[in-house]
Amino acid sequence: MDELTALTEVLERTEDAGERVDVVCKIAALRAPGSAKVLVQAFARETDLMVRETIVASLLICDTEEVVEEVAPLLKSEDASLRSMAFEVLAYKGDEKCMSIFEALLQEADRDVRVMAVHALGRGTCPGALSLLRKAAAVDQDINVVGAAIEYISEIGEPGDAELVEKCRERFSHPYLDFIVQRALARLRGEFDKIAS
Amino acid sequence: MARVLIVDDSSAVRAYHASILLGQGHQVDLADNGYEGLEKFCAVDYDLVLVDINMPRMHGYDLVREIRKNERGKKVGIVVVSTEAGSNDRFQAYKAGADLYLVKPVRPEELERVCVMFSRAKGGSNHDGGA
Repeated sequence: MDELTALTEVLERTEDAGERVDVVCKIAALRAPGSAKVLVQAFARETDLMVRETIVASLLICDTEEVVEEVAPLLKSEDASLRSMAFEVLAYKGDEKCMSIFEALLQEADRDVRVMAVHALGRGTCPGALSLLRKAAAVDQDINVVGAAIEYISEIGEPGDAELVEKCRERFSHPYLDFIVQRALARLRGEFDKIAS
Repeated sequence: MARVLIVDDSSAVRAYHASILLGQGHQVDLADNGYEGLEKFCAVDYDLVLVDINMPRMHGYDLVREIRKNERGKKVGIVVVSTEAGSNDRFQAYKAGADLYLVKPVRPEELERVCVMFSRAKGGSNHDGGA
């Protein structure tokens, strides 16, 4: 029996939350292929908040591609805890190797998945995030997706993005988008006194 | 005038809802996650809490449940405001203890109606607490 299998068995059997925290840390420290899958499965059945937080923190040190592959589908979960975990982990773990996964998430039929993908991209450190956010703002048909994309374009974009942001306002007629666009334009133009906090 | 707590991880959405409510003369406090929202809720007597669902760490359903466990939380109006538009999401929100479920984006008049409704339902509170 390899070490990951042995630790997984302990994690599944022990009723002691403190021991589960220890085992989660050991699994993450192994950095073995399959660790992320074990941790995600453990999160899904875990009810203790401390253990859940430890699992999220541990996923952040596992292999990026494996983690992203495991957690990205969870954005579609009916379980809000799983969605929130996936969202948080993706925001920290996304890198250029995960661009195709984010691109696929932005094509999902479920607009909530697209909204969460935009938030994860906007908050993360993925080098290609800005181009995907621009694309989402330009083509997505949902006002919440476009609004979220504009929010982050205004934070990490350039003054030249003002034109794209203006065009978004023309595609939707809603006070929410008017507000978001005004705020984004002020930020992109460096007019910080006009930005409502 | 109502005192409202807005819990949403999107700074743009927080600012949008706050600008509407402040413009209508309400008092507003902001929190960007469930933990911060719960901490603020425990310190101040609110008429209404607007709660997003998909937030990192503590999601909206858990926040609603935690608020309802609190003595003060039994009277407060809780409105879930989410992009999630499915019937299962509504069911989960009501099961957790929400009074109302609104789908984003919300129009200003809709938010005003909700504020008036819950401040009346609470009988007009005095807001001595500080955020």
